[in-house]
Amino acid sequence: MANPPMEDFARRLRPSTLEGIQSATVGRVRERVRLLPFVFADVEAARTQAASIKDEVLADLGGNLVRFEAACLKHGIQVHWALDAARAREIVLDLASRAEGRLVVKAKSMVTEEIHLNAFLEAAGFEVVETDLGEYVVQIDGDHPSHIVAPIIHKTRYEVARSFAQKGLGPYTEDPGELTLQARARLREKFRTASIGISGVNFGVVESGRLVLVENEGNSRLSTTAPSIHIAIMGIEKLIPREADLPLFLRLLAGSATAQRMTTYVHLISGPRREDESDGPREVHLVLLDNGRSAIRSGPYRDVLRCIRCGACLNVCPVYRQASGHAYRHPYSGPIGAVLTPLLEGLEKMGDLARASTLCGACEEVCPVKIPLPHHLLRLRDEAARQGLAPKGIPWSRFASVADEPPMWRSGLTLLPLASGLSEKGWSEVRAAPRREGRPFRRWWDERS
Amino acid sequence: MSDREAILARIGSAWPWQAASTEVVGRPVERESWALFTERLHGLGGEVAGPEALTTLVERSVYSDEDAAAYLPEGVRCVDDPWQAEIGVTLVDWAVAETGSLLIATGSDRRRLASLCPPHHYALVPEGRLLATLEEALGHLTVRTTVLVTGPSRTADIEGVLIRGVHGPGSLTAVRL
Amino acid sequence: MSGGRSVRLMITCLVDAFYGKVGIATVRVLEAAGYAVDFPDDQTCCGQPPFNAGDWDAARRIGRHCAGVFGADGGPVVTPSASCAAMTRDGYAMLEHPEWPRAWELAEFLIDVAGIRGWPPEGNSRMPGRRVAFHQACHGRAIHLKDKPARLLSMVPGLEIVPIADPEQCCGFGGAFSVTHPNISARIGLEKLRSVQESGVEELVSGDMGCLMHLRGLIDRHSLPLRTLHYAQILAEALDG
Repeated sequence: MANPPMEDFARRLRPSTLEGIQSATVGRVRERVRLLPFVFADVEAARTQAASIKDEVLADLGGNLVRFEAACLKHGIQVHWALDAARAREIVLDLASRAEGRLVVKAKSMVTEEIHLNAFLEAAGFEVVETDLGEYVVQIDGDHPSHIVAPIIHKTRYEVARSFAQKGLGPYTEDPGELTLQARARLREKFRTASIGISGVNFGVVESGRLVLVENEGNSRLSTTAPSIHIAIMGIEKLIPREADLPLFLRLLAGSATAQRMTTYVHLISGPRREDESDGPREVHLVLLDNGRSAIRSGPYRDVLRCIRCGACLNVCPVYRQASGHAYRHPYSGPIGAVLTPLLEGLEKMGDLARASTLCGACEEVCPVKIPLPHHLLRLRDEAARQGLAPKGIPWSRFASVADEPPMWRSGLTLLPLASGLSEKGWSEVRAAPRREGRPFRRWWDERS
Repeated sequence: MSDREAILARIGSAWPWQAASTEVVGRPVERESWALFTERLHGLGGEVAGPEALTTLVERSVYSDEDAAAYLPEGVRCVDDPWQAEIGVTLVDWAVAETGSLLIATGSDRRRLASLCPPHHYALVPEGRLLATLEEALGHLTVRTTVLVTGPSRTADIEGVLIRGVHGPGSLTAVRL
Repeated sequence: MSGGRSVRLMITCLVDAFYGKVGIATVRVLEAAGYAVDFPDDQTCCGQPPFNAGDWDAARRIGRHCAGVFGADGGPVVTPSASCAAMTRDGYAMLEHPEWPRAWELAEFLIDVAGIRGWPPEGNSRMPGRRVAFHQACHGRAIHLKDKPARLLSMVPGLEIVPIADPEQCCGFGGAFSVTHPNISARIGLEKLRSVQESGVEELVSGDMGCLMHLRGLIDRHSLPLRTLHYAQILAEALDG
């Protein structure tokens, strides 16, 4: 039997990559655990409240989107709707083509990864530059981000150093501070001359039509301030109802993602520059993307749409730590990716991700919006099996037949199906087979009574 | 059918929703205290100074908000290109003790790039503009685009090493007026 | 034994098949806590292995059998496994059979129901110098077990639970996952064993034989100097004084 893709991928990872991921994720988990009780009097209540507010948005998603659109239009944000990735790409291309220049600066955005926007715009003749430091590194390497929040968690400083020197960013250095300065110098020229800035959106506030973008580096603010056109792309689930909900979500996102009390910059965008202003984009466009989200909302996995993309579930996931984000074959990795990706891309193509989990539940425990990820993983496994997509392995129906017949079970047949599983290559390749320890319980029990 | 209609049709009707019965607040912050603000901003690598700090700007190139210019001492070299300036000077609408944050709205006398392009940012906080919590500060949002700045620009992308001044200013000084 | 209090023991398929010692220890512990123990002979499995593997039809079939064996009449059902207890509560609900009988995890039962606040309940047995590491089985999360097994264990006078790094980390077992993704599973397990070894103990205690079967397999394969025990075994030892 062939190995599942994630197992194969993990086997090929270099020890240095694994060590880097391990130490970075463990560190973030510890910092997060230390910080959150200082931020919230009751962390549990905060998570419950946030989950409830996202459910409120999803319950009347249609009404909320219409109200949000109206509020955006009121202060001059132009709203476009895209049913799928192809439509979103077309809208962006159409808007970008109206600009004078052909240089696009991009803020870090998961949704633009989801719709593969960069390659599309590049094929249409645009120069697209990722400006988040980590995203820039993966772009010049022809690589992909491997973590929702920390895109180059899979790379060492030496890899970055070699890459920067090769690309002529400056003299070879392994110092992260120097490397950062080299990227800064190169990217400032891009910010200065770009005519189009593209970003995602962290939260859209329904009542005010405000686009909220959260970041630490300043590249997102620059991308959405310096060019004359700002195009923001947002999944239709990323709404929160009220301005008053912002403190809760901003604290939860900063705390869960990077163990900060607050991210360095929270950009609260309400429209293009006004007539009395001297800078800021002349046009702000918002693309509302469905791309399968409305279908998810109507099914049993709907609460994955609460996700605020903090990446906390990746950091605590033992499988993510050993397999890396690239093993998930999609921009969304870790536990949230293992649920979301099969839903977006289909069980046939991506259903194996749902089986690549120990179901330990650490992800649900840290999720700031309490998504029951282990339940979803289980349900996806069942759904895949129902569609005949489960790999052949341990013969569970035979196991059930025995477990349904106590005499057979007692006679020791219980061990046959179980043992066949445990003697499989998979078990014995890495571990010794289980040994019987002590007298069988039933014999002891029978003799005793 | 437009994409808008198609999406709204796929979403369909709303379902009932019941609010969670929890009430959430941040850790209570006693009062708007400069000591707390200073502690928080220091923790992030920023500085808090008095108005005398502005005298250090003399002979340096400054890109400033128009409404902040009145506070600048004689001899400051004001420039019109944010990309060439060494210092950016802005006025602050509200400071937040809880997080060491600064709330800065856009406006006719304001320049968005002043708090963003130059490597050093001096943020002027007029008297009576310190609030205790994020809730209070965000309660003052206007219809203008606004930014909440909490410390200098930073990244930890390369091996988790904290580096300040990636794209935004690497140094931030809150000046109490 | 007092007051006609009784429990029904759900032994778990792994204990039934491999770890008789753990079953015997569990009976002794429950009896020492003042309960008569009944062992319904027709029990087999709770259905968790196929449930986790995604074969819910098989899981329902086994669950229905289990529900028949542990019908609504009779004393509380107790099991020395967080994951089997979680199956009967969380899992059966997902299989749309919340009415099937629910099992207590052993430590949860002893602390929350039996009101145990010291161990052993009688006598003054001590285990001076006994130092163990404790691995908290992840499936306890689903039933909010928290640190109850460790709390129970730490009631034994003289016994010391030595802290290990990142105690909430999974051991990498994951049922069918351990067979389908052996390399990832083993690497997670070896991280756990490294934390245990770094703590300087020679005994690793847990409350779930799934975790321990996997870790034991790794320990044997890598010839590590570690013993593995279910916490019920230590509680039973403490009874012997």
